[in-house]
Amino acid sequence: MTAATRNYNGLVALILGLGAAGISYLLIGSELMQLGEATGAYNVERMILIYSSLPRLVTSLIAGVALALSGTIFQQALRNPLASPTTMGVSAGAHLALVLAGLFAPALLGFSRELVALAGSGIAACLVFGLVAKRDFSPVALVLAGLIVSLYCGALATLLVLFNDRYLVSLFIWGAGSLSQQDWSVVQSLAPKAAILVLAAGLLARPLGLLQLGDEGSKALGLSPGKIRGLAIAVAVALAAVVTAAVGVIGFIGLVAPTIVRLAGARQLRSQLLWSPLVGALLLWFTDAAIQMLAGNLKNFVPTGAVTALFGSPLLLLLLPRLKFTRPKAASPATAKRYHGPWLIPVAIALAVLGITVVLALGIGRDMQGGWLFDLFSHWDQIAAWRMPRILAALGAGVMLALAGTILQRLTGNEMASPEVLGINAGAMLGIGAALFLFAGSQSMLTACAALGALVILAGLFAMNRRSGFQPERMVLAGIALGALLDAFVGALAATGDLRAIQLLRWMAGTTYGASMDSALITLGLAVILILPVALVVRWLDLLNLGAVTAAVGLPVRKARFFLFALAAFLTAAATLVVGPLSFVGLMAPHIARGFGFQRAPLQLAMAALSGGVLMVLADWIGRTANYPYEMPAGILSALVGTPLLLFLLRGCPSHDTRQMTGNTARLRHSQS
Amino acid sequence: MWTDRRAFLAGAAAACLMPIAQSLAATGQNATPRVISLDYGIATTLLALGVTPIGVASADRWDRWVREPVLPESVVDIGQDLAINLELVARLQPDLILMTPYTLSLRPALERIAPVQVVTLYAEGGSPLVRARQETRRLAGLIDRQPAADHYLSAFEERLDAARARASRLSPPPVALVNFMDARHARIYGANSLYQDILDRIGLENVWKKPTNYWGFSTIGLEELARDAGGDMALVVFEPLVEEIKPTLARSPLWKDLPVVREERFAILPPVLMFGMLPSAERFLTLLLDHLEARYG
Repeated sequence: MTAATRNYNGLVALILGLGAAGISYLLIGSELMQLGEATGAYNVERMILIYSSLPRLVTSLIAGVALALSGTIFQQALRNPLASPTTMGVSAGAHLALVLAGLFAPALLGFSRELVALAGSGIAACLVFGLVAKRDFSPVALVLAGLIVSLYCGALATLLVLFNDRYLVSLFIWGAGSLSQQDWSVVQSLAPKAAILVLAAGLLARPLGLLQLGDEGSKALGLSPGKIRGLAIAVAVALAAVVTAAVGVIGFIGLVAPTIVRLAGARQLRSQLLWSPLVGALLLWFTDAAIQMLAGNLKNFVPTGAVTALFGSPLLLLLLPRLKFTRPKAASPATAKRYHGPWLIPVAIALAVLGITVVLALGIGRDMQGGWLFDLFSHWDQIAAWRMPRILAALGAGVMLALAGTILQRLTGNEMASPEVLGINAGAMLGIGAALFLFAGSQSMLTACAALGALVILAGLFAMNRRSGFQPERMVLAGIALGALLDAFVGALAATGDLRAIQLLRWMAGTTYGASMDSALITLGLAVILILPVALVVRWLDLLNLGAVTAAVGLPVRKARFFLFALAAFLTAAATLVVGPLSFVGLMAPHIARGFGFQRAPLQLAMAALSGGVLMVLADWIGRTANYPYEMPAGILSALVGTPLLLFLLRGCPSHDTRQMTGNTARLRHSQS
Repeated sequence: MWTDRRAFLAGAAAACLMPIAQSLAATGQNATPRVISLDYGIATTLLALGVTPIGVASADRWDRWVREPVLPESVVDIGQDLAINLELVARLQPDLILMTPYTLSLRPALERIAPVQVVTLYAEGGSPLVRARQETRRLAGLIDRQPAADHYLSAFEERLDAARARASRLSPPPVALVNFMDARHARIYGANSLYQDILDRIGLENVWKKPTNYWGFSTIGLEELARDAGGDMALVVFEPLVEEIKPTLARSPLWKDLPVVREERFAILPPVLMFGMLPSAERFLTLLLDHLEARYG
């Protein structure tokens, strides 16, 4: 038994409570004192106090309780200190469902927002768990999958919003959760549901606590650990869903509060279940009050949900070193498809497929009346001027992203790694944002600033991770955290309705639109140039996963990792400038290659590159023609198209090599750290 | 007129203009130029000058945001303003493409198809109404419709004077001009906006005297509207109204108990293009005065 640790949570709660109360007093204290005096006329301050400020305060408390409780349950059930509604993709899934319903089936929303949100969050949770099931729910894989699902749900929601013209900004405000109220309806709706779920959580407290005995211990006591976990997760998901339905996505409270509580000394589950909701409520109250104080006139427009990410993301970054990597169990030998024939055949076939796709994309379009036509030869000059550059740019970007994705997945031994997660897009976005807001820049200035921003972030990432030897998973998680931070920032900016922020968001959707022949050729050229170093290091990709043997073979592991990361980063940056920050291709293409049995690095790289090209050209083509004359961004479209494909591929046979890689990499890390 | 055109040709954008002037001269003075507009306001001005654009961005939403003047069926929808379908525009073979600074990022691509002219209504300092008049004249020069422009501008001034006379016969309270953005937030138009210029010109007072942004509006929560509703006001809400607002407005005491709502001194008026040019200003005038006369006449 360890010595009892001092529990400082009371102190923490006191400080937070006093702080929040203090700020609130400054905001509404005087009106509060006069509450008793009822006047006949419409007293504005009093009305605002009763129907806006007070409901807002109460909502922040309820939401804080629900989110913090959800986070604690997630962390306990999954034994993962980084689990939370945000990092499990649950909140983002709920938000996406609400956006979808709002646009395509408003009647559903009128019927029950909470059910729609619940459906969305449930699907997101299932998706995340499905993605990591084969990896035994390793904590890092789980968080990675969850954050990626969060990222893509948020991106899809943004895409849907972009279909509305510039005068409509309400969906932006909703997307980064806002606690702003104008009557008590939200409180009346949220409170009972939250209360029921809190009760359910209370009932699950004992069984959940007993799970700490380990699965065998719990079974001995007659509990089914799987069922308990499932129930607990369901409650946690529901808590997050009802909050998202009520006020939108409020990120990171579910991560920050349980962490603070744990760090302040609450070790037992019961203690955590008690303190975490309290701290969560006070924290959200404090944050919201602080925003109201600081934002002044804008206070209804700086969405609280965005601000929590601004301090939650750095916390995620700080927590990374503390994350204990549990070593995955030894992989059972699984049969994995493996291609053994000559490499020329699949490459030739892939090239042919690519060729056909390009020709079809060039030739098939829509006419003015909306009909379809194949006008490759009749309108060649127009096609060459308008379609060819886009297709070439898409091709170049697709190839580069696929290569970057393959390198990252092999480097981290994690199937969920993808180029966006390096945080490159965050850096490029920063650069473009600076250009738009500070310089009102031209196209070339935007590009230059984007590249500069990407490099700055890269340098920061490298600096942060040098000490840990560029451990791949930490780099990736750091990149995601940075991306989330900047996403939130841009979201808050867009909520103010500033048109430049909306332009920035548009760019984030990713598009080959407007590519000129020059930029297309540059992209292709970059792709070709960067393929050379990839070809040089392709052997490293195979060697790096041999574990301890690697050092013996004479491969300088740290330098090799650094070089490979840098390569992946440059590939990503070059592609991002064309298709924007979001494209599923970097995630999907390596899987497609592996799914067909191409396991060795050279062949996987080649096939992934070709698949990436095909996917991006397809996405560009669909983006151009599906909603004629309206443009759908190719970058996010590839996500829409790719999700079913990815799910289908991941359901297949577990990849034997990946598991071995994981085992070996873990051993290597262990021996190095 | 001659000096205007010469002065214009001497302007910075003259290089683009020469081919137009030459081709128009070649085809005859009254040949209708093929013009594409990326902005609703510019399109309304073209229609007022008697030229139907061949393509307008987001034409399918015209009725929702502009309504008047009616957009003829022949106008092709060329896509969303920030992502115009370049292929389609090329296929339409325009002589001139008109845009506002909002879509400047598209300029390089569009210049490959036809000369591009930028119409600026909102900039630091100055008034949108004054700029609208100036840009109307400039547009007329570009499409060779100066007589129509002169006629239109003088008629517009006459309408403004008549409106001023109408307004002086009423004594309405200050007006609040609002667009709801969602159930909790609204845009209220004040300094720097086209609406404000019109109000000043015809002698009506605007409730909103606080600073506004670049485009002449402030985004406020319903609560703030409540705060400023203490005094007397005529609240004018313009459509479109997002569906989800209606239950909130029916339910929220902040709104329902506002004196201006309880005493039904508010109205929901049909849509007007808030960032438009003279035709939208006219529509705004008519709608507002009709309403004020009905309520306070």
